[in-house]
Amino acid sequence: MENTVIKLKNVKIKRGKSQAVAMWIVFVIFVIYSVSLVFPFVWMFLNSFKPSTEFFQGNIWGLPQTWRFANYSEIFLGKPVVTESGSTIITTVSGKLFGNTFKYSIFHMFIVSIALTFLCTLSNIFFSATSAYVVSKYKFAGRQALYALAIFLMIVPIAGTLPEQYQLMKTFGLTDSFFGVFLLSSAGFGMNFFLMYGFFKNISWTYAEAARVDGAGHAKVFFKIMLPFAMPAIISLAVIYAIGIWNDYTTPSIYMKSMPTLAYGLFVIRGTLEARGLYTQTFAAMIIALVPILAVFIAFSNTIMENTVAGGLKG
Amino acid sequence: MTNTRIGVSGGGLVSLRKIKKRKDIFETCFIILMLAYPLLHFAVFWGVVNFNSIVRTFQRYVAIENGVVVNKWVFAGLQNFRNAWNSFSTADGKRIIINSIGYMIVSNFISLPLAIISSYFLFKKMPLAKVFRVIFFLPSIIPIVVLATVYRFQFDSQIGPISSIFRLFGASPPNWFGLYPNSQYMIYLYCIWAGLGYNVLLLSGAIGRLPEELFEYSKLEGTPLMREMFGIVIPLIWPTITTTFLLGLTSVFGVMLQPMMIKQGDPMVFTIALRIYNSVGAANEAARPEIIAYGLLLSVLALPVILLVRFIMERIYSDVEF
Repeated sequence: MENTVIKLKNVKIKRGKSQAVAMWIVFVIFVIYSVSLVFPFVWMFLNSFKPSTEFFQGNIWGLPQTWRFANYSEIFLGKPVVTESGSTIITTVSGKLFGNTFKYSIFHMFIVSIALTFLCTLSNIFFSATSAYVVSKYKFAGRQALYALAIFLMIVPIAGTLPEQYQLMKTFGLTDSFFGVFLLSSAGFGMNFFLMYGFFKNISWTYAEAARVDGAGHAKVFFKIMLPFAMPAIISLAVIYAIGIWNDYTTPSIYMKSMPTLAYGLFVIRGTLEARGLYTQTFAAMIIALVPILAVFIAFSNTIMENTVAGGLKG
Repeated sequence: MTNTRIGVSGGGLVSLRKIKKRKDIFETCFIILMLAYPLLHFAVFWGVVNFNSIVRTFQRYVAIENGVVVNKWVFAGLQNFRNAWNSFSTADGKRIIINSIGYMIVSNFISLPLAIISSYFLFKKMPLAKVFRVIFFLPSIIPIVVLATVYRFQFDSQIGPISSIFRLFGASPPNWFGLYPNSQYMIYLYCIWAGLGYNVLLLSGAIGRLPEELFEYSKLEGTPLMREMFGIVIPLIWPTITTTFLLGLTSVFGVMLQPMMIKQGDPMVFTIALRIYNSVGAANEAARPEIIAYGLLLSVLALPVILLVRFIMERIYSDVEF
């Protein structure tokens, strides 16, 4: 059978010219689309080094004549920016830290985002793993119902419950709290449950049985055998989930206004800078926000892309 | 060994039962421990929230009664649903629904077909296919604040490169984001621009998992590309297309950040989700039941549509194991 396949692969059959033309037309369209995706960032990157005066005097397309690295340091550290008219613009977001008023620079927002992303990812992945493992590997009453529930939550959109969720969080005193956002994200029956269910389902139970014969308990089987087996898949899910948390604007904008994350704080700072015509500083802020996400993407590009393809979709 | 013990004495049987019982208890405890927090979380943040939401839709807030401050919730029957239903027929209500449905149309009838065609060609050993895949994926990981800002700047009437191209040819650039519905079309364009790559990646992955032999035979037969795409590829990746289509349907309720980031605060481009988001934390307690009823009513109306579309799509092509 394999020989047949190899033979077939070696047969060269040319498709019509029109098909080659179609392929090249699509290639050109792809190039244009790719340029439309990459060019704006290159343009923004170059302009982020220009002094505002140079940018507004018409050097929009060329390289900076004067490289102004201070655009970055001012924005990153939250230093006041002095405009051409002499007025001073604050590049921080007012918030609170341990009950005291605090001005968050992008540097501070970075720290908040890193802490939030780390803790939310850890809790969500862990609880998704515990629920997915038990539902996929143990037989007990209601396990089918739990699986059906996860599918239901994924497919059926229920709009309109956000105001009541806010009220519930308000009742718990979690409407302006880091812990509140952490708590919300530590669900065990979301999309990650569904994906991990598939991972655990595909791991042979024989390993667990062998360990059980050797005297290992249920917890030991889970932590020492099953989790390490699923670890590559779990890491990829964690990376994808972490990117989602890092980029999440909605939840912090509702429940963590006094402790801005980068995604939320950037939106606030962008508004201030743009309103005062500080475009080059706006560009610098955007580039700063891109750096960590691009670093993660470069480090995990294969993992991210392969698992996004998997993404629970069968096809 | 255990069987031997059973055969030897009745005491052995008793001890085996004890061991089995102990095992069952340990297993049950383990299952309970592993599920306790996820279930509690689900019960509170989904169960209680949804229950409260449903209850609230049948209530109204009374701040003052007979001149006395009472601040209480009283039964309101179906009044909130009636109000929500009536809000659909107002000018604002209609526009919000139309704007929201527009995202579904853009997603399912423009972006998805484009993604199917693109992913097929990417799969056909196109030069730079890997580079394209990476570039197409980038918008999926970039914060929407950044992506929306970049997009807006491209069309800025003063400094935007696209407006500069217009000026280069002596034409004055239009006010891209100025008046509705132009501003809405620009947001739809953003959704295609930023969202196409993700769908391409999903679908090209699905095509990549098809058996290679199929394409070899198709090549031998000299099947034209279009026939290969519509006759072989689309039927075989239909489950992925169905899922992507269904997710596109739910965008009617989910899209919120795109209009918010691009046209912040402009009520003309409001969507269902954005209307609900803006009501969160509002001081006006009395308005809350109606907004919840509005969301729930739309969800109830949408559910049979989603299920029907799913039913129909699953019957267009049968699922094939390969």
